[in-house]
Amino acid sequence: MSLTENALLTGNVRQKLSVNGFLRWGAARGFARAIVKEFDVRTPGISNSAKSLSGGNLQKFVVGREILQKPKVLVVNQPTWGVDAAAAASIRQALMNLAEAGATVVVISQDLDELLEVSDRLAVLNEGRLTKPRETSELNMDEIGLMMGGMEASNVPA
Amino acid sequence: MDLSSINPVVLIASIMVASTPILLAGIGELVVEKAGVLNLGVEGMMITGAIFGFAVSVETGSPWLGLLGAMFGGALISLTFGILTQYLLSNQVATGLALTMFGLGLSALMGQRYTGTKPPSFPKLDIQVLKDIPYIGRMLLSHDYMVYISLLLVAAVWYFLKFTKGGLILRAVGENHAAAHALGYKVVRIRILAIMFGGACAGLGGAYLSLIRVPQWTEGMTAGAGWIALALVVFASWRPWRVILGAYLFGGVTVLQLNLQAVGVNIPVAYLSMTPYLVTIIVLVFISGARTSAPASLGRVFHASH
Amino acid sequence: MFQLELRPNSSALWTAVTPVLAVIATMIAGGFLFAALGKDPVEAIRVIFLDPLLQPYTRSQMLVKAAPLILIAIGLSMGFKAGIWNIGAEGQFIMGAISGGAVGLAFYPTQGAWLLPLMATAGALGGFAWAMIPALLKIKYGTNEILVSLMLVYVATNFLGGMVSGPLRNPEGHNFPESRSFQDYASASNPELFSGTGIHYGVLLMFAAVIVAYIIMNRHILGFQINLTGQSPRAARFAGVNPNVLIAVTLGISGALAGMAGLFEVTGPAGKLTTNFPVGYGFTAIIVAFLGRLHPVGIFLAGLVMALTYIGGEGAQFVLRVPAAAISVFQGMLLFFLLAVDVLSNYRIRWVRKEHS
Repeated sequence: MSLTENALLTGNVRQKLSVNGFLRWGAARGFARAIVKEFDVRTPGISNSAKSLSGGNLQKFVVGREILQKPKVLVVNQPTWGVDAAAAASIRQALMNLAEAGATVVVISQDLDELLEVSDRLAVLNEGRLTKPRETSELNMDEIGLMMGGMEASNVPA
Repeated sequence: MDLSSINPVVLIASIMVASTPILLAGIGELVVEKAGVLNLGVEGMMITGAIFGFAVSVETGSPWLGLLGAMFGGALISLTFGILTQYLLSNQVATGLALTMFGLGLSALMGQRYTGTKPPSFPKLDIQVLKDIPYIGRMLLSHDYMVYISLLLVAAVWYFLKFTKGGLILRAVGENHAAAHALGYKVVRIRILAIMFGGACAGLGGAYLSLIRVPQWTEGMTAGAGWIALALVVFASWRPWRVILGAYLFGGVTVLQLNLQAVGVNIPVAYLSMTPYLVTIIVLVFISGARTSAPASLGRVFHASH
Repeated sequence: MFQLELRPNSSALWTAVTPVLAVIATMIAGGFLFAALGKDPVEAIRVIFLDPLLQPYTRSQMLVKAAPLILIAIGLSMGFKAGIWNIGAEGQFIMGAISGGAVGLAFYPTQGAWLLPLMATAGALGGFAWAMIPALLKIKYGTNEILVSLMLVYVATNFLGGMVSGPLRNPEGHNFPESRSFQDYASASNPELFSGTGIHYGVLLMFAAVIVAYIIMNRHILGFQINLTGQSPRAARFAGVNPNVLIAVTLGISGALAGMAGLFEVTGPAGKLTTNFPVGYGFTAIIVAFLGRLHPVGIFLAGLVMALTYIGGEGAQFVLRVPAAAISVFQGMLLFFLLAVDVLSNYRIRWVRKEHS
């Protein structure tokens, strides 16, 4: 599957890439090019197949594909996994911009630094239970550590 | 119409004979599929075996050599499938279809000289003491040798798959070829051997038709038996003993409708002839509702770099 | 030793070149086959591949032979692309001919321009309904569509036998198991439209089907979903493709096209329903679909090549006394060679020295 087709995969409806079921390949290529440009995807061209991309590049493309559609709600799991530092920073920035514009963004990650950087509120999943979300700015490392250990942060003596 | 003219003893005896070709082809295909390969060319391998067996036994005068020839022919043509799917990584569905078409054409071409010829007759289990046992003797114990050989073959396959190291490796290759490869087993080589075994069995099944059951050569004489053998493997949920059950069930339907034709039931022959195929579909529907136990790598292309 | 290396992008060049290679390889191997049969191989290849192109009559026959092959293959290719294997087009072809033919015969001897379109619709519905059996069983019970559609070929063949010796038998036909001739029943016949060209309504429909299929596969979301499902069923489900809808749609389309091909065949070139009516177009169309790379334009060209082997094969039977079966061996080999050279479009062949460890 080429990058253009990959862009069409989820972008069809929101990016209006088809009219009455007929595909607008020009628009789809434009969308794919925009993703490649915005998110610095290293590829010789959008007609290349998605599987020919390196893991990090593909990750950038997929995350970019969703962010550029400006969804109202976005759930991302490990958005910067395997992505080089510069690109990771730009993905994070894009997520924050999206939230800034009014979207609800749920980021699931094992990278605590990343979460601290992008999130307004933080909740921790421990043994199948999700803690109450807390304002990230009010939390310090000890509290997060206790939340991760299964203790509700509100019970922690200040 | 007189249904009482159908003798149950003769009926069961003829079911055993009618079931043997699909039983042979089915048990072979079961081994192939257990190794993770879907060979849809059973029909082509059967008909190739039918003509190889026929030609060899007519030329040599020996039915046993004919059976060997059928196994050779079936294995040889299955090898083309093996090379294409295992070394050239072609699509198994398409290659199996090609095998069927090629086999049907090749056999028709080879068989032209043999139309109307009679093959040497095949020896029967002819032991007077056994034959004289009332009912059972005629029903179960006076058939040609191949009927019993086919049953022994099923037992051997069951034993091989269940109790031998070779069987375990074959099943491992069929369940997860990547893991088997990582353990150092030669996935491609094992699959080629399984495919050739399947080809030999299908060839034997075909020769049973042309040498024993009919016995005559006619173009396209397998008439879908190879496809029924494929359905049989699904029906059996990839378990050897159930192949016997399935084969006898399908054989039973075939024989029954032939008997009904013979006694002149008031249904046109054309509709009676449909029944084995319709029953196959109905059985497939019932089976596919159940939990499937198909080998996990069935039909998937194996390439060491994947 | 040789080693295969997966290409990151499948090669467009090889995808186009491999069918040509396969045809050439088949010609060479076919030459050996004919030599083994004691015929002059060069002569045989010339009779099969060249002679039909030189005479106007055989040239027009190419379209007649190619039309049902291409019609059926176009339908099959959509399913094949999505990994849905309709192997029973032969049965849908027969059922289309029976149901469309039965509608025509029911109105005998009423004349009217409305009759042939009505019969074509009935033919399409007959093929469609026959294809919906494996489709619905697959959707509802997960039954293997390969086996079911194939079993239904045998059922359809027997049904045809029952029909022509029963309800559809020609009442004035001295009890022969065949229907009335459609060619003698003007409104129900599918005539040659332009004298000497071989073009009948089925050929026109074939051209329309090639064009519509091209648009669907390349410009429409349905084609995109079909391609997507074939390449990655998982990704397709994430993108909201309903696999059951695709099963019904692709089997339905191929059934309807095969049914119409059957109707136009029986009312045109074949002339009447007999037990000899099915000649395996439904199976040969599978080769055509693959030879054409499952692409509408490719299928059109492949259908013409296959029609050539049919007509040339008939010529070879007549001129060289080559048996009819040799042609089906030929066609089987073509598919084999095609699948064999296919490896070149997805893999690169590398020569590597054997590693010593």
